[in-house]
Amino acid sequence: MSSNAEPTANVPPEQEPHPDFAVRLGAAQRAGGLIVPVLTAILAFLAGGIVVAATGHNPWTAYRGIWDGAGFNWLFHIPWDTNTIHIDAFNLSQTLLITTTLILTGLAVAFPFRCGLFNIGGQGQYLVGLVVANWVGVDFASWPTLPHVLLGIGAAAFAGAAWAGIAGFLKATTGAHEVISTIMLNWIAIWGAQYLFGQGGPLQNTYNTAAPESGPVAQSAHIPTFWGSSLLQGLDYGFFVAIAALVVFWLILNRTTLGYEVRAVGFNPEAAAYGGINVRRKYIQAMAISGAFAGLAGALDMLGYLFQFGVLDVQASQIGFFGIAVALLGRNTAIGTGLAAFLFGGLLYGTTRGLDPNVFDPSLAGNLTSMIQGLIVLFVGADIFILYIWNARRKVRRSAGFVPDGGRPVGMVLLLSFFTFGLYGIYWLYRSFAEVRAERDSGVGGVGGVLLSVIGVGVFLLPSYIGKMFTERGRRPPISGWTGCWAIFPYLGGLIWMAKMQLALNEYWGAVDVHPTETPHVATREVAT
Amino acid sequence: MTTVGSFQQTHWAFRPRTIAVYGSVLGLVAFWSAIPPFTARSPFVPIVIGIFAIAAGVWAVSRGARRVGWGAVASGILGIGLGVLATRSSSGNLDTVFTADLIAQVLVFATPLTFGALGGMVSERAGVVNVGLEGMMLMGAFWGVYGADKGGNWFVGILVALAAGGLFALIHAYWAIHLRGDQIISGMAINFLALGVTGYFFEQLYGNKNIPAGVSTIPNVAIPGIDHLRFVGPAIGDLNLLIWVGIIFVPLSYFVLFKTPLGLRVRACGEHPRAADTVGINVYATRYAAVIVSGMLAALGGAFLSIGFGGGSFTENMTEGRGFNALAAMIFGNWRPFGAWGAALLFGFSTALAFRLPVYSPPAATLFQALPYVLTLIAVAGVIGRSIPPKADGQPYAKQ
Repeated sequence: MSSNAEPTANVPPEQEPHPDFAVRLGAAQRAGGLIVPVLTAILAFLAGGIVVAATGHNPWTAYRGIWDGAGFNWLFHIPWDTNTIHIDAFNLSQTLLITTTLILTGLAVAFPFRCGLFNIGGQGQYLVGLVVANWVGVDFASWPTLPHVLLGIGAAAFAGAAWAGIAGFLKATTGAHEVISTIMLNWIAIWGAQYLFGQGGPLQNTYNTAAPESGPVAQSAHIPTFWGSSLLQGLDYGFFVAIAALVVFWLILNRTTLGYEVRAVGFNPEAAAYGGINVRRKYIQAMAISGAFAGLAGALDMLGYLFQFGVLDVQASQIGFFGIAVALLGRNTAIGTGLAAFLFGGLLYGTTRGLDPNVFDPSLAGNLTSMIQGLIVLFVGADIFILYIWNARRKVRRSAGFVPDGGRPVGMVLLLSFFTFGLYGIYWLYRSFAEVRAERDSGVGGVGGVLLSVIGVGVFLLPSYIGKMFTERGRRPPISGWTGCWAIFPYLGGLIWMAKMQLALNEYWGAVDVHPTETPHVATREVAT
Repeated sequence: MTTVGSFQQTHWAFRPRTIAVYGSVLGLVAFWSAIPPFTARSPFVPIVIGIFAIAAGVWAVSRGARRVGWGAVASGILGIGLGVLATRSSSGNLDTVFTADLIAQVLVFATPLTFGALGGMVSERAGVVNVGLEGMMLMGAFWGVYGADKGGNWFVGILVALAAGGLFALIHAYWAIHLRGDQIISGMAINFLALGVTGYFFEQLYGNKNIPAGVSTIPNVAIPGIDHLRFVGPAIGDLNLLIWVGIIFVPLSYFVLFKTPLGLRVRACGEHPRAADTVGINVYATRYAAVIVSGMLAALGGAFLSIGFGGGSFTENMTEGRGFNALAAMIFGNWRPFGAWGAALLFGFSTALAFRLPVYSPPAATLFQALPYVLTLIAVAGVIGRSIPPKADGQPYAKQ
């Protein structure tokens, strides 16, 4: 090998390959609110539906089947649905069982994210928790129920914390990138678990040495069920542990010094260090807490309904990886993670065992889940930048005369909208939403606005945005969200609505001297680059 | 750090770095001496050779070649340990595990890793982190066998695999370069997406049936004159064409990346994109090209799994983490072609052992599968020299 090709080889690397990502995520979080993740999910489902349609299936029946399979129809038990209530309830209990796990694996990704760390190792930490819970569950069979369960849960959470803590420790001491080390730890855990449960492994069952699987957890370590039969894999009390974990996550982040410091490090590690925060220690703590969540997930699964795990199960398990999509879709917040976990829980159960094979082939649907998961992660990766692009474009568009001089031609818009059966209006709808987004640095943007208008939300959203624009400038808003009611009346009402929007925007641009960089509220919302 | 002066005075064959490489090889020889076909039965043979390896390593470390030097020391210690272990086992056991076709098997397991690691290296040298190798490899595996089946020819299969891997790489590139999104996120998204897409279309196009038998597969290359030799014949006499392609790609990628202006441009984009832009290099175009080539290389590795060594088959999630293993090999090889290849061979060796050792110890066999990841973790932690990525690796570049 040549020795002169890379003279910098012994210089320590830059500590932060992605210093700005958490910052940008934070900005996107403030700007997008709930709308962007919802749109992300809708887009992913639409794209998945297109694939389903393109391969000759009916996407509507497919999604309907998944919806039913997930047991969601039990929630909206509509009168004309004569399905037996029992199967729906059972499906929903199974969905919630998976939701339990997903909440915790999601939190395992979300927590370090707030510290500027990307934990891809949820799967490994989950498996470590699973293994330890199995060991405790099998080997401490003489213990009474409550201490036995608590010991299993505690030991698993601790083991998960230690496993993730390795990555945090390496990051803190040597600067090894947590993404690489958590990927490696994942695979060490995956093969390690296969060793432990496999033939001749220390945790293999004792009664059938030909089967590469663990022993069954003793009855005393089973978490009791509260919905459904414990014989039929009912929903256990672990569900409430997961809900409690959401609260704990929120409390730690928002009501403790640790949480404040973690968020400070995530926002800007250098500033945090300057402010006296021990950044390295935060890295270790954030990873350890994250691993505790994932380990807890493993324990609740093992003691809640799995009770036994085999080599093949280890190979097939993907639940820890789903935590990434859950956390990203949930914007790394407690409520968001809970909702996203519910969505993915339904998707995972509704596309596999819950799905009626006569409606849609579960082997196709299971892969559809992976596709939707991938698309959601992909789109979340992009919507952070969407804000970025809008910020950049706002300046460009202003200088390029995005807003026509002398206001927009309202009459022409209405006339052309009338003659094109509203098509031209859609373009102006897009422009209006885009303008509002460009001006306020928040909102759903052009495409999002049009999509939301299709389902009726947009017509209320746009006037409320425009109204806020006026209020933020200290002016009396001519319109508000209620103006959207005009659009309820077919056609003519829509034209009046459109006219009101365009006139209000004209008034705004006419009244405001447009220099975005000088406006204080824009400056404070500026995304750091 | 070695002083610049010694670079100019010493012949390359005697520089500390090179000596350390000799040491690493000696460590291997120490182990090799105790297994067939040599099968030294005295523990002193591996010990003596191993001590030479360690000595070479220590000397190299004292002269500044720390990373490679420590590698040689580790190799010597491992060589002694494994060698002594081998001299203690019965030669019958050794004969079943260490046969000539172990070498062939190592090459088989190393080939997807080689393609993947080279692919990852090209992408990361240009400054785009590619954790989507697994997905791109999986795309290559499925669409490769689909192309070979429908096109009737393995070459069509390879072309389709290249297109599929390139397409997913293009998505990753667009996200990483134009949208300036987080490259880890889009890479992971590629992995999930590929898992879903290949599984969905496998079910859709082949249903519950498997890929039909008799799909055209990539042929083996029997080297005349070698394929009937004792030991060498079974080892390398009759290997799959893609294995040789992979081996050729190693020096080729070294030459292109480190000895041509094109390679210099690619590396400039990964080390300091602004400087590259200033001297007129199109950073975006270079990065796009690098990522797409990366996806195509990973897809070749996947195609090897399905229509090469796999003999025209596909199963859902066929790659089973080989993309991540390739990523590990690239990191362990310090983002260099020969390093990555060496790591791929090492990881391939540990996988091959994992497949052979169940003969007399199943649990230990499984642990050999984890070895690559443990080694890589140690490498990134910097215990034995630090793995150092290109400076601008993972950082989006904004034109000014």
